[in-house]
Amino acid sequence: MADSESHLYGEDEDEEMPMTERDLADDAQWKVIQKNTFTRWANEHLKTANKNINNLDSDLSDGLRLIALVEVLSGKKFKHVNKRPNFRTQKLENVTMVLEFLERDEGIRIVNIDSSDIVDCKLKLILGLIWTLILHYSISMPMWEGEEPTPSEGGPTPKQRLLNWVQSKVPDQPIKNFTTDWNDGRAIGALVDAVGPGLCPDWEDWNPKNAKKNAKEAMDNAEKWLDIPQLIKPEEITNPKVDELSMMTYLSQFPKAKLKPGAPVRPRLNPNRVRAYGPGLEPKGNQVGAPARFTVETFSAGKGSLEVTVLNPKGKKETCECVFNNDRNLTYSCVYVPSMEGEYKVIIKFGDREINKSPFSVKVEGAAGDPTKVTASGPGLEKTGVIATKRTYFEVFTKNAVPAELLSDIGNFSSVVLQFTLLHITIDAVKIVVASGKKEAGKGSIDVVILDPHGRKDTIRPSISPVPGKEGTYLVEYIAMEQGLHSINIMFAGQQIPKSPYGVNVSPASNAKMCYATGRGIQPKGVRVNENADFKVHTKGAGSAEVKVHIIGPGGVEIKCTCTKSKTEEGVYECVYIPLKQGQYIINITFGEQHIAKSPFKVEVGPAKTSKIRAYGPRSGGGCGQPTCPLHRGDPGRDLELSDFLLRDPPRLR
Amino acid sequence: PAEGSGRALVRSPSAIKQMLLDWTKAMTKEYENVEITNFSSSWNNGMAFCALIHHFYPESFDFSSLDPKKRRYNFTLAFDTAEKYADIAPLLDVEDMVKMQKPDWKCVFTYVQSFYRKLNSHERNKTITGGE
Repeated sequence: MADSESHLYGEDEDEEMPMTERDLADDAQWKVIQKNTFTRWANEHLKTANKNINNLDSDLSDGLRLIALVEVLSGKKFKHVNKRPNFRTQKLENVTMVLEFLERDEGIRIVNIDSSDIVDCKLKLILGLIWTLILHYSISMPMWEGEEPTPSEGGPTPKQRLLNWVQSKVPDQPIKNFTTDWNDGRAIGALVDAVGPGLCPDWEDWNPKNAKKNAKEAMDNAEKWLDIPQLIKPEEITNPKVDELSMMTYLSQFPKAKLKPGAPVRPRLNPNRVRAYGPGLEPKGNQVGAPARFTVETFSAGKGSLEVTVLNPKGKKETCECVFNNDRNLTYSCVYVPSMEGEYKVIIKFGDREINKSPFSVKVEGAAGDPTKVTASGPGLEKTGVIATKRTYFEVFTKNAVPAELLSDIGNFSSVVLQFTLLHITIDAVKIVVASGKKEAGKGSIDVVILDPHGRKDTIRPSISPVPGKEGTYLVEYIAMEQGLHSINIMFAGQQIPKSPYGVNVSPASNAKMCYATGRGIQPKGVRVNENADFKVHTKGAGSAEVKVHIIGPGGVEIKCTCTKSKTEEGVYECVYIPLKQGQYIINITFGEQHIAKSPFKVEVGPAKTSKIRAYGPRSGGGCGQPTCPLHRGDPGRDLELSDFLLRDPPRLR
Repeated sequence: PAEGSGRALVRSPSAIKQMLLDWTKAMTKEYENVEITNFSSSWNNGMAFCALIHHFYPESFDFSSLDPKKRRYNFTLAFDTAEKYADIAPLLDVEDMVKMQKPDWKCVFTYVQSFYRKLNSHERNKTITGGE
């Protein structure tokens, strides 16, 4: 079955074997069908020459129709035609001329077919010849707009015309053929970008060694956005033995190609627009064992791949972890932990090219300092009190941990360098870099990692800055966005300091304006000296936060106020203070550090209440037993009390 | 291969065959129930011919209403449409196609290459991907 299979599915050997070799009776049917098909095909082309084939066996015998057919197919004209070939020799001459032309000029291999086979009407061989013609004239050089349909003698061949066109489109690339000049994939990238600007803007930077990758990118883009089907494949275009005519057929689709709307056109990658900054790149300040962090910003540089290499002083690579932040500026957060002292090099490449200032030289110092002597404190570390979405802070004190000579003489510096540009201003903080002439213990020695309630360590980024005027002190600020238990890890030279990590329970953001106060103690008038000025603070529905009452009396004196949470009413705090002096009092009531409604309250405390009746003499509790007591002169008297109305001994009746 | 001369160079027949096959695949990509892998059995129910001509003339008939089992109908429809709309002479005979379970690949090739020649410069000579 192999033979009939092969003629059905077309194995390669089929091309080479003339049909006489397969003379199987039960295949006669396909012969008839082929004869009909091929005849119809030939007649379609012969229409233009006003000729026709009725019987393929015999009508080619004198060679005239064959000549006409080949003329139409090749576009060339035969000169020495025997127009009235009555003799066999003349017929043979005609046919021979055609066959020789086909082989010599058109490069078509005619195997085992002689002129005599045609003249003598050997159908199977004639079918073979016709098939060869069909095959080789099927995918011919298609014409494109503005081109002449047939080349005249001496004019440029289709091949030359295509080459000229390609060269005009890509003047920067030397392209002289349709084979080897395309093998590294860059030329096709150049052509695709020339026809569809922005589809392959970086072709010039493509590495010739990545030939298949280059070709695939270019050809896929051409297929998708220029509607050019891949009549050849990327692995063929990169092969030095690529079939030239296949290349030309593929490329001939380019002249009429148009860029589809919505194509992702990109500007050229520009590594120079990549910005990298951070303590991990600073020449000084990094220490062994302490994470060295930095940021790479790629927003204005186009789309490309980031490659960071960290080399230690011995020239060996150390791991650097880079995380893409997927933010507006397209930044990457990178960190590496130097393992030894000495000069490190950080090489940052974008799109295969080094960015500005790369490689960065980073001098890593030996771990200096004892983490166990580092302390930290501040509201940002307290178990409660930190409120979501509100900035909080704490300070880290390294003074005792670091040898004196490493502390910077910050008090003496005279200039603070503010380093930011318009591109840089981010929502959370302006970063201030303190420039001082002296050696510092280094910001790099302190690392703060905050875990949010889900355990993620990248959602909150604290900012760390040295505090001017306080040696070895650093201010750490952060904003927690969610309520819940957060873990604040403070590391010095790579190790947790005592008490770290701190557990901070962040309360939900609160709304102070929903809180209000009622009661005598906050009324503008009505409170008197020495009275219990009480009031209630209502916080129900306002979220959860700390209530603070801060009272300032006359003369700016702070007055104590006690507040207790009500056991009966939800969200209510019962507060009371006792004004000792008359005058104006300011009551500040805050909820989550913000004033509640109508706070601060102004209260005018009036003088103590007095009656016109005054008592004199000792109180009846320790009296002299007499109904009356002698008046003491100068005694201003005192306020009346209940016991004044009670007699110790009832008077005896006489 | 030699370059510079005006004469055409030898082309491998298998390359030509593959190119035409790839072209038909690209032109019929959007027809889900048509899969073209060769010039023989892939064409035996007429759907491939219908898909090919429909790709260029989508208004000529309703492709979705075709039934793969109605072979004679499909061949007739495709050949008639190709002749009417694109002036492609029917090089194949409907009856011959119906009779043969496995079409002769050279005949199919011959007919399909005439599609290529006629439609290569047609504006719909492109791959239709999703979204069009």
